[in-house]
Amino acid sequence: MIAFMRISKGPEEFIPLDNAALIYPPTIARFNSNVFRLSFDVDIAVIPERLLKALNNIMVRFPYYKVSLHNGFFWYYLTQHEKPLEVYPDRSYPCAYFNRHRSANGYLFKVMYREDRIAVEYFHALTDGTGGLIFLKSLVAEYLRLSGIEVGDDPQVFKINTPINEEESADSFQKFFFPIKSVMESDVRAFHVTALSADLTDRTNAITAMVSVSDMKLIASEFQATITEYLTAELLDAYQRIQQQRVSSSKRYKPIRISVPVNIRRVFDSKSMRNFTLFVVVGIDPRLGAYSFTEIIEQVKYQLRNGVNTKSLSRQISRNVAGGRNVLVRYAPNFLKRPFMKILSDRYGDRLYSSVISNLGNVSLPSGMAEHVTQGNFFLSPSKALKISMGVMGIHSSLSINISSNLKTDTVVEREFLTALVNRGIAVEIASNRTDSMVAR
Amino acid sequence: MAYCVKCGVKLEPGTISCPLCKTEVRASEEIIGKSTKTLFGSSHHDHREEQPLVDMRRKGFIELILALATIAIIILAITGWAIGPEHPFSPWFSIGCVFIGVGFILAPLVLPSRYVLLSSTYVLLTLAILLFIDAQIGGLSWSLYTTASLVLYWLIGVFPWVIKHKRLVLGIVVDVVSIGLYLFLLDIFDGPAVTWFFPVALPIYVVTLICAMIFGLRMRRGMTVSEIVMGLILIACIAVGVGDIFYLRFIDHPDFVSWSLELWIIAGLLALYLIAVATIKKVRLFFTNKIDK
Repeated sequence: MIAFMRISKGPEEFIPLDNAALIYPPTIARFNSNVFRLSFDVDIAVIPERLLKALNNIMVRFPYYKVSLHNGFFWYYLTQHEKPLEVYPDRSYPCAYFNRHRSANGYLFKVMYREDRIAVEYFHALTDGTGGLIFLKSLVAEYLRLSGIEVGDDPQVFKINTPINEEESADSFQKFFFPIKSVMESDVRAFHVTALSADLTDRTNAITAMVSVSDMKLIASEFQATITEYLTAELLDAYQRIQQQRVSSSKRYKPIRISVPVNIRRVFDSKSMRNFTLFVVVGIDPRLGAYSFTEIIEQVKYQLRNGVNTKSLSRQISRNVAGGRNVLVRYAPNFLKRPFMKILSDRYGDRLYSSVISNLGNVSLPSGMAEHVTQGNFFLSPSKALKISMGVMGIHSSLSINISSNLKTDTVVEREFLTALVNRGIAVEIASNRTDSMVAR
Repeated sequence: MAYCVKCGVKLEPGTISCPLCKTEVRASEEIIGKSTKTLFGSSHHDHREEQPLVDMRRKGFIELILALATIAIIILAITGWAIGPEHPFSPWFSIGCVFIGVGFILAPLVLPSRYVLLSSTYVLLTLAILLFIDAQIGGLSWSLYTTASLVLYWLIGVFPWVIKHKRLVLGIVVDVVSIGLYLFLLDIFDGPAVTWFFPVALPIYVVTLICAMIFGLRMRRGMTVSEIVMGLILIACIAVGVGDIFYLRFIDHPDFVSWSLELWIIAGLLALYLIAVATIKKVRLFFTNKIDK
């Protein structure tokens, strides 16, 4: 029945998931929380009651986030959710497993606080990084307003009394779908840092590196690259070194690929507040020989720039949406689709790339907010296959590189990546939630 | 604030070892600083989060098996209902088999990978399915044999791991008694009274045990591979030969031995060889080709 509603856009109480979100609910499991986290550190005290008031205020402007997730006969679906909103004290680790019924009173996002921080963790089925950032900025702006601070205008800060654009709640993937024939592509498994299940933890370990944006720009400009391109190249190079260290024979080398999520709202001129991100996979193949850093960055530049264009992205959208529109897939009951998605998601997803790096860019802050927000962080949950994920966000003049990992003790990727930055003369300041490196708090 | 001497990164205040390379920070407390604003709070304040117990792929397989089993059960139930009670086909038998089959497949996916746990589960499931099938065919008959065999397998193949080799003697005693008991039960299942156990099975078992004990004691002093192989062949020959002798007594046959005479000759030659190797140094060196120490 839900499947019919998906097509006919039936009663409003049934809200279909957007195309990119379909994969997240069935694949949630131990080591795969499918959660991302955005946070702002502020220089004023965060009072939970005031934060809750701010949250209740802004939810009027974000009705499409006032939803809960349900397991339908054919598909997962969303419905309007009216339970009271809550704010929660922050945890010692990011991106925890999200129980859709109980973790946040049935909501798919969780607002958390500590004395100087406002954080929101989103289950990825709700929205992507850009949608999440707009929500967080609007929440923090409202909190500052309630604290008596005047906040200026910003396109990414939705004020309570502004009209809601219909496009915000639309699934833009369906809008930009072209009915062309395309097939799911699989490829050779990429190189991964190997670990036994006993070496993994479901308490995400995080390392945040703070670097100067101007330093990064300077280094990236030496290679005529953007910061994203430069960081991706450094990560590929780090994985290349790790493979050389850990794999004894070059005959057993595997390709190294990094998945780079791309916000395609600007490409397609979309205002969607739901998921509207695609992945460009960039990589090198060390089976053909070792790559110099210059070769890697040239590859990254070529592949990223070649991947981000309307035609190439449309092809991806068509492939993804066509999968969901296939009659067999559409009318297969969810209890059969769900296990297949779990079993096959690695084959067409995580096993094809070694890690993921998502750069939200330099976040602009309106006046009032800019003076009080001191730092921003963006964490992506790791998965059992990837083990390492990287989220990047710039606030003011500093860039925070947030590396989340579910490896209990192994920090080889973080070490290789960050020491490479240090070796290029970039001052790197790190902080971690790994308990073995701190004095008693 | 300190720097890691190995990685070159600046560490947040209060860090006593580098999170990247675990190198200890060797600096004064003043330089290390105090932990004031940390990346995340202390784990003592964490509210308890539920965690799924299994990873994605395993969860997928579990869900798939359960989904397919559910479909199979529904189809069987509908079929049973549609053809009515007068038809000889009973869906309950097939549904029971589906349940036990699901148990077989799910056991390694759900249970921790421990030999004792998995093998005990499989023994129980096999027992259940065999008793179930036998009961469906019409009363318990052949399943008694299989039950006894499975229990014997568990006692020999699993029980020593339950006691974790801590009580070797207990393990051996349990094995010896359980094999004897198994033979006794087979005799009982065979007919209304005990017939062949005492005159045939027990003597063979006792002789084989004595041979095995001698073999075991000899092995503790060290044996070559050829000696082990020959020793095992010798035990087999003696056991079968003894079986022949006691069986002839059991059926009141006039001959002392029949077809096992050749086996006794082979056993004698093997025994001679093993005694010679064990007692005469020159023979041992000749066969083992070892330099005498």
